[in-house]
Amino acid sequence: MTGVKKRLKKEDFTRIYGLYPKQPWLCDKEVSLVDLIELCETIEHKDLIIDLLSEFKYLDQKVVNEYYNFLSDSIINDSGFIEERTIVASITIDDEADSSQRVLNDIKVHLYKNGWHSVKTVNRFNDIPKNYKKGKKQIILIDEFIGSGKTILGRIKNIREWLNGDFELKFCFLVGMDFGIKVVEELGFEVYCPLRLPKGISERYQDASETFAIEKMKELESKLAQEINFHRLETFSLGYNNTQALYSMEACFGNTPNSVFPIFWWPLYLNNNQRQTLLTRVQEGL
Amino acid sequence: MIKLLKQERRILTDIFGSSNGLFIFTIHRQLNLSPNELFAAIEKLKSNGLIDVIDDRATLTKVGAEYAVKTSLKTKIGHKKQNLIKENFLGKRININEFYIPQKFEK
Repeated sequence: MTGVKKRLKKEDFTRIYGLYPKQPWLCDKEVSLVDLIELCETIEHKDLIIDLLSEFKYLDQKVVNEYYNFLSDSIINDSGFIEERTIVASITIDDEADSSQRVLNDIKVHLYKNGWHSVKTVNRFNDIPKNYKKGKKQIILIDEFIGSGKTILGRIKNIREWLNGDFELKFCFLVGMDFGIKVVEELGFEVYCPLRLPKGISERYQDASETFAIEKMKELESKLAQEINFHRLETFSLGYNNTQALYSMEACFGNTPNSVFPIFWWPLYLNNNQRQTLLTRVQEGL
Repeated sequence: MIKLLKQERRILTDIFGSSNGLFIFTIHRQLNLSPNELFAAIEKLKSNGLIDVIDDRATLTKVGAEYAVKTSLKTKIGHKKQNLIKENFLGKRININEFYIPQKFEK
């Protein structure tokens, strides 16, 4: 479904039409977009949603390919790592398929094209020690997206416990929150990330307007189901860990991170009716 | 001639029929097009140099005006003769240079 046949108010039409030149991906999601705008009770709600959407980073395949090239170039030419001593590893711990493994698989091709024909990739984080024992002491951890950085801090802790200090560790992310990346960098680790994002509200609005915008967003979130199965909306309020991310990948190309404002992906209204959301998040129980 | 969809031609002729262009929202209301459909049509007309859009107002370029005139004429020619000329105006077909008397004089 691409078009909305009903007549729109002038203010709504102007807002929606004005978004399209900057965010053409929204053209194909007009029904969801109009639903979202109509969920907004006040002009302030609408203006907030429109402002956040106008800043949204929605990556298509072409851009993602450029990012992969950037990352593979950084690994080969900037990291100082030697192919024979390096492993490129996903951060996946459990047995659930995830984006870290997909990114690892994708970058393998780019590394090959750029000259690393036999670098060791490791698609289970827990297999790093096994490869370390074979002399692979230069480790690149890779993931699609870094939010608050808490997951990465956990992985750093694991590696430090396993490897007793004799290793070099660097990170690659396709996209990341600037504040999350800084958390990792402040520990002394190098991070390669072609797209660093500010928090959607807190790092783009100041003082009173920041407080006001957060209040408006929470009012919008109050119109959504507060709990779905064992997931509480409160946990994801403003994005998991208050990340406030404005990012997703083209349809079927990536799972929307839970760091994104849930107003764009939370699947049920307060009355438990299904929403037609702009973005899709696949997560058990949702 | 640039190939346009029916709704794109309609936008052109509607703008042509206005004195000073049309607001995009007015076109949305007049043609009942969704923002998405309208955006696609307007972008195509712009990229073909047929219209300009300044401050949400769409106006025809010279090329667009010429296109609208041709489209408009073509539409009229396309109508069946019977629909255009009322029955009481249809008389005997006369030859070239043949004399005739207008109907009113015959009464």
